[in-house]
Amino acid sequence: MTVYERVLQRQFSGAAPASSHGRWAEAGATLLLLGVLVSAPLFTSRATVNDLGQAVCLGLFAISFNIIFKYAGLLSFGHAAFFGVAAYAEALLLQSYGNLPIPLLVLAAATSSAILGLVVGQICVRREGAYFSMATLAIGAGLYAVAQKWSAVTGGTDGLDGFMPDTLTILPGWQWDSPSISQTYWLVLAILVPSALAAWALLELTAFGNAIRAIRQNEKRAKFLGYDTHYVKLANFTLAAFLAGIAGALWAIDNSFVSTDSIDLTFSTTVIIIAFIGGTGWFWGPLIGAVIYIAASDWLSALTPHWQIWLGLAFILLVLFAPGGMAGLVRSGWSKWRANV
Amino acid sequence: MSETPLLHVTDLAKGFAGVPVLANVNLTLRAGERLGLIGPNGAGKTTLINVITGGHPPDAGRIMFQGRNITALPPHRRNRLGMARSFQILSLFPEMTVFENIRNASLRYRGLHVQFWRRLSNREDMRAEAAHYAALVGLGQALDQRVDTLPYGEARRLDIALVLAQQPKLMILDEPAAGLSAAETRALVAVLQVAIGTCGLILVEHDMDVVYALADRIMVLDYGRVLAEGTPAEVSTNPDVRRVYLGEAAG
Repeated sequence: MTVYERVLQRQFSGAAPASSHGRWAEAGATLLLLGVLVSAPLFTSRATVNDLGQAVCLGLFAISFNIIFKYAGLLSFGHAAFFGVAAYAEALLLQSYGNLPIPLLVLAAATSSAILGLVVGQICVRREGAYFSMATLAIGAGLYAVAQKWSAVTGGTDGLDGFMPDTLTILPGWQWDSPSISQTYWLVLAILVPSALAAWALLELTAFGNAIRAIRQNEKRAKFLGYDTHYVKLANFTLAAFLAGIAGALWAIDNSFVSTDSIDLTFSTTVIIIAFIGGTGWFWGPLIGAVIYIAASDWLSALTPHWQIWLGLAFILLVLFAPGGMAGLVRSGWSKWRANV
Repeated sequence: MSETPLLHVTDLAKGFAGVPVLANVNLTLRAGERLGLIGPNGAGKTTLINVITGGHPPDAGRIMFQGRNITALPPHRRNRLGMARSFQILSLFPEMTVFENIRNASLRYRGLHVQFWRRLSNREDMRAEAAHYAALVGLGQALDQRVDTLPYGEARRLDIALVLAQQPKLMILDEPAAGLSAAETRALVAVLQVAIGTCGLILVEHDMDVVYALADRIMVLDYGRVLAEGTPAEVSTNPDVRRVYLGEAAG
């Protein structure tokens, strides 16, 4: 069995049934995770906050990848397209309309990704398994080529920088002059956390979330029960593109720099690795994965220039031996502990 | 005929890779009528059901449902007009509970299946409704059991519960008794006799006791053609039918 098949099969090993203590434990873990991330600037160094800013943007990106993977059972190989398009859009918007409120600009940039997702999804979600993956790969490769060649807009391989205005408009009448790293970090989280929570609520609590899970488990039956499965999958894909767009836009703000690194195919595979490190069985797992990924890449890249080989090896081992990722390991550890007390 | 038939199928043909499976099939079902569809293996029964419910497009012919041409409609649109089917091979939502499976059916029936602004768990009415249909098929005690842990016989009955929960005008059951024990089959027939009510029925079934108990008209398919059609008594005395299908078993 190939790693690709293992990866696809992972979805059927399923999340634990939501018992009531399980739900409280999950809520507690979510609060702990978000609480630590939000309060981090109070007890860590500037360099760590800087890293965490990148990690949370990557985390939201990986969550958006997992919205397609976990809930619809589809593995996207071109997800960076949605991140990258919004990152470029955000940079260009800041360049021309830097005096407008940041949330509005993020919304505009993410909407451009959502529209792209709607169009691309029309083509991709009709396909299943490897055919879906190949379609997303092709579109991802196409958009990367556009970003690279259309240098008048994207800056080509040099990328875009210097687009951040000195004064950020948070809301009309509320401005920050040259914000600190922590301020920018909190600004990013102020948009990121509510967006992710809204997506979580939509997928975990509503009938729509139920519909996409039903379709993943048995699309044929859902069709014969009257579900328009194409549009449910398309809506889910578009939602994921929108969230990837928010992540990309916030990344542009946090990094003050956008290049083809945010849209290339390597980045589309990085997000898969991040999601699996954290664990695709839990909505917030990929966020943990991003923190670990940033920490590990800092640490590994200091040890060896070939660090990506080791990362790839770690990914393969993870898929083979701990397919639930970090969240899966914690969950099974928690269950064992519960069983013993 | 002044009354519009529930289902009116004319000159239906369907082949796979050039091999004809259905040829020149005509079928009319009045509202509330119960049709048993029988025939040897490979006669085209399941294919006919698939074509009627939208699983396969027909090569030729026309399908009218309550006077409306549905030949080109996808399965979910046909379902929404009031046509619900079960499956010969189990087709459920394996990682969900019995309750959640039935809820999937009733959410769609009520048009709430993609509602995204309200907590699903706040709908206590859905639980009561699912409990009603689960009890109807004898699964009242298994409401919170995951479907991939259900015994086969119970899973088959859950399939029927999904159909019933949509309160269809036409119910299409593809071998509902396949793989059930004699006792389970009797229980299922008893349930269906009550639950079908005034709903139209197309029943594909090899167990002739089930067919006689539920159908008031029988159509015999053989090699994709209608061999005979009539009341159970007419069909069981038809010499062609006795020769190709019922054989000694009916003697």
